[in-house]
Amino acid sequence: MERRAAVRYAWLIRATLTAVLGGAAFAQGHDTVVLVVGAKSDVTALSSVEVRKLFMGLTVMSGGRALHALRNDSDPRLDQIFLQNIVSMSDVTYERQVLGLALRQGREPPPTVHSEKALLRVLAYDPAAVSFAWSADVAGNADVKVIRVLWHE
Amino acid sequence: MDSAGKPADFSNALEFFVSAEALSRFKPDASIARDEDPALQGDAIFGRTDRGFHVFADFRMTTSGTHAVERLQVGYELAPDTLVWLGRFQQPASAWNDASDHGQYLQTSITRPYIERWEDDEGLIPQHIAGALVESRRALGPTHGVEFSLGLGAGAALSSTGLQPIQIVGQNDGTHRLAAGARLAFLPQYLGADRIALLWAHDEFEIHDAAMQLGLQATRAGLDVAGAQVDVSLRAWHFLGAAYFLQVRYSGFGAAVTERFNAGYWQVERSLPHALTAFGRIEPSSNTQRSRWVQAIGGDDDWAYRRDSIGMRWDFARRQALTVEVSRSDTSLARLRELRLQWSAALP
Repeated sequence: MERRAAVRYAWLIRATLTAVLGGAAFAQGHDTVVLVVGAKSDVTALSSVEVRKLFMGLTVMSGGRALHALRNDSDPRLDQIFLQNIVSMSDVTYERQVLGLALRQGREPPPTVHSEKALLRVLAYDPAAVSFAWSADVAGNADVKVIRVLWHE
Repeated sequence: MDSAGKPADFSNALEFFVSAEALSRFKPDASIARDEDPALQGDAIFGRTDRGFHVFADFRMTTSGTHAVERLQVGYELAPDTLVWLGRFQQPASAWNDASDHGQYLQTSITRPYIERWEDDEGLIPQHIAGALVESRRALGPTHGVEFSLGLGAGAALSSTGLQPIQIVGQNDGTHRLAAGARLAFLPQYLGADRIALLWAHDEFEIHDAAMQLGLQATRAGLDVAGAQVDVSLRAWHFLGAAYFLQVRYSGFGAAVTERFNAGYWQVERSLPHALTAFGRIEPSSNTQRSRWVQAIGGDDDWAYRRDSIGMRWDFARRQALTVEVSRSDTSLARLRELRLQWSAALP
């Protein structure tokens, strides 16, 4: 009898936490990650392989121009989704990969922006920059073009 | 990068790989001439990419006296991920160079395997070529990939102190001969870190130093290297290994003579909680004790025909690691035990 009550309590706690956290994420619109470029960019589509290549520091061309990947760690959860779903590597392995490329060929590891404001500034300035953001953070922003959905909860 | 962005048509890379090391030997034998590891070492890497053109430089400094431009390359990207380089570069037939090069932070262990040692560290295989290098990575079907590198140019000369690659800054004695190296790698995942590769290199030498001529019983030598590399991860495990088969042809002193020996290493790493990585490595070899090449190039009594190492690495802060490594080496005269402690980092 006591065990059944304990199980019921555990279930209630889990359900409450899920509802609170899920509700918070939904309220903030943080349930979808999108690939973004500046409004002046001529990039219209990138495949999953091209996106991964780009963030691995390899060359991806569009309209005769090499694109620049921009890592966005303005939110720890966003960075976690980037590692798990976009490059599919642990933080340490990803760091080693991009640093290894810098060491072997002098290629610049994808730079990181630490705030949404900085992301928008770089996208507005550099038409070859490609990054990712929460859908809700860029919705309705005329300076940003959404290329595709990268992750959805 | 919280400041304003960069112009669209070029990018610059500037990275520093630095490390500090402490070394302790158990039961040191004063009669054995043992080389010291540099206490401090650093590599400054500069790269610039501009409309398909690449410029790349690697400057190395150590407290044991090395101040050298290790690599200086100018290249053009013919197609995405297909580059042609001119300059001084690392020969592509080295499995260790492919994985971590000079970057101590990028290698889990503190030491490089004996067979992968640099020329100025009594390495047996020339590690630098001055000439042309082609590198390419292509998709192979929807999942796999293939990577290809071919380098051709002037290799290392053979002097009284061992192998001497062409110096970018400083004097060269003009005895550098043809060197070529290649690597063909299968990538189980086109954009993954795993690879299985075949390695090949050929180097020719003219021997002018009298002591070296006497030691090798030759005035000319040709070194052929064939090898295989495995670098794969399986969940928390990482396996890294290479086997090299070396053949040296000596001529100029009577009839031509050929000798063969093998050397390699197998390293296993296991990721643990709290950003720890445990590792162990064995470095077996065969016929090296009878090799003229090993005796002449390996120099003093330093070259170990067998070494076993174990260690632990702790990744902390951003791009920093502390590593401890214990090793046992069997040289021609003694068994040596060493303990190393290292801090390494990639900056910024």
